[in-house]
Amino acid sequence: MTQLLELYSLFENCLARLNTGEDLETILAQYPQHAAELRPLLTAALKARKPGGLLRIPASAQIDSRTRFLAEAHRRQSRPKSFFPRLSFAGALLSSLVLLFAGIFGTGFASADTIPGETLYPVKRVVEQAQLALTTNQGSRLNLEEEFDRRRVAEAEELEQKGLTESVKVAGRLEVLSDETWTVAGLKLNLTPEQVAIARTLTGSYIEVIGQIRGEDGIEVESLELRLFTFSGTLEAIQDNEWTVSGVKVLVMEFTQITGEPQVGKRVDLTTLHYDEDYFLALTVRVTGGSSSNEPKETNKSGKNSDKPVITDSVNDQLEATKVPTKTPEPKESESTREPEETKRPDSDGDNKVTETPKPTETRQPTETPD
Amino acid sequence: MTADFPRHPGLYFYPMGFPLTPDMDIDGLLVRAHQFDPQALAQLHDQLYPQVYRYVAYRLDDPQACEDISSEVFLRLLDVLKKKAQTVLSARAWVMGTANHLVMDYYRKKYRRKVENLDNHNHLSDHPSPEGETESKMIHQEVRDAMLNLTDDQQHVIALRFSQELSLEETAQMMGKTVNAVKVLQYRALAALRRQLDRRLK
Repeated sequence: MTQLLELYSLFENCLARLNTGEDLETILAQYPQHAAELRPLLTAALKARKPGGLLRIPASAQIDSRTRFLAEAHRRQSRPKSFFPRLSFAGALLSSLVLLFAGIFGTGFASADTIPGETLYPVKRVVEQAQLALTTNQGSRLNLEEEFDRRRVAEAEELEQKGLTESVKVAGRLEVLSDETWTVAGLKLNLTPEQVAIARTLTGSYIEVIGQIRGEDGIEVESLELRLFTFSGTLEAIQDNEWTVSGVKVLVMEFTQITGEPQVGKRVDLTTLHYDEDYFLALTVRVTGGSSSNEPKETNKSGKNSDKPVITDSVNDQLEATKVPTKTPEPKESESTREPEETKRPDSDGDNKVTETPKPTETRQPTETPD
Repeated sequence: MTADFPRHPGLYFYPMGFPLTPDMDIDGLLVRAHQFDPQALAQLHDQLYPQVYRYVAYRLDDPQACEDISSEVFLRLLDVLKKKAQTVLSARAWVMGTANHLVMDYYRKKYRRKVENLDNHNHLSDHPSPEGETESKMIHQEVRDAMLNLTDDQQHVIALRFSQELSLEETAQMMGKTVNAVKVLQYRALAALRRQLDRRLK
């Protein structure tokens, strides 16, 4: 290796001397033992040297280029700056939120107590979605989702008391009373025989029900399924089957589908069930990348799953064992996914970088090189 | 294996290849260029332009494309200047690297379009020129064509070193490599060039 390095250095010396105008043969005569090796390369170097000294730069070209350069700089600078430079999704959301909140304060949180069917009710839901989107802490985000679930139940209770008919979506524990009355979070459900069969497998689970509430008659159920919570975060601890992901306690069971190699410090995407007050039960865990100290990435707003977890029979059995029976849930389209902001180009080599070589465009070699 | 010249943290720009008047503060120039000060931008442009132009002209035999690419390099420099000042560790290395990529893009597009047969250089004789000049032009075209079969880095190192006789250290700085790495690279590049030239003779 040192010999090779010497050869490379020797070659560099020869090149430098060629550049000063020394004759090729004179130079080679000093290194007779390397002459045969160096001659073809140095002849190539002589050919590669641009003939006729330094190229004269056409003045018009330089002036044209300078004019374009300055004009473009001026154009960019005079472009009105947007209120939020490089407006991101969160930025856009924030600005709309500010406006929203301004409006809401003005009407004394008029929307907060609304129930489905009232004019301001959609405002309430939009504010909630925005709140969710802006909460980056995974633990508080999940709490918020549950809080919103409780609000839906409270709204349904109010509709029930007022004897109104409205479309509702409520989530809570599915229970069956001794008189075969099915309830979710205390709300009465009207189930078809087929739905009862499904409900039996879901008893005790935290589920989501979509249907029409008809006053005191309860909810005429259109669908019932497990309520899934998806989120992503940094894996902070693994203790037996109890993992901590960005402060959230997650149970990882045998049936949990794990993709990638989970290690403390890595980022993971999870699809979970609400197990009890303190724990979420992981159905799928996907390791998405290396260690990251960044804030958790935004997950999809609705907290709904976008990957359909495959729940096999054995999973069902085990869920049974953990008293969280299940059925395969319908996947929901995630409402928003967000592209990561600009990614930094990784350096292509680990060499001692003196300067950063820019890569404004991806380049490929025009042809393969037999080297 | 460290570079033979000092490194400077943050914003820095090496005034190596061109003469600077003593009162010219190159750091200050880049700071002002970052703020899009027109005078600073004009100075920066005029200092870097000749090197970029020579580099591109070395690699392509098409005066119009050469002007376009050189100009494009500077428009792109605005993007970098506009961002954080410290991304311009060396504006010169940046513009030369960008020139390299744009030249590679140019050739890629040309191959894709197959507009022109690379071995067809009738346009060389468009303008009557002295016998000797035509011959050296032919030789250089031969080198250019042969270079296209080299790797990206090999082409870049040859163009940097031979378009304007940059020193080994300057070349290393522009490529973001160590001096020793450049020694190895240029040796291999010229060996590869030699092979390509020989192949063409057969």
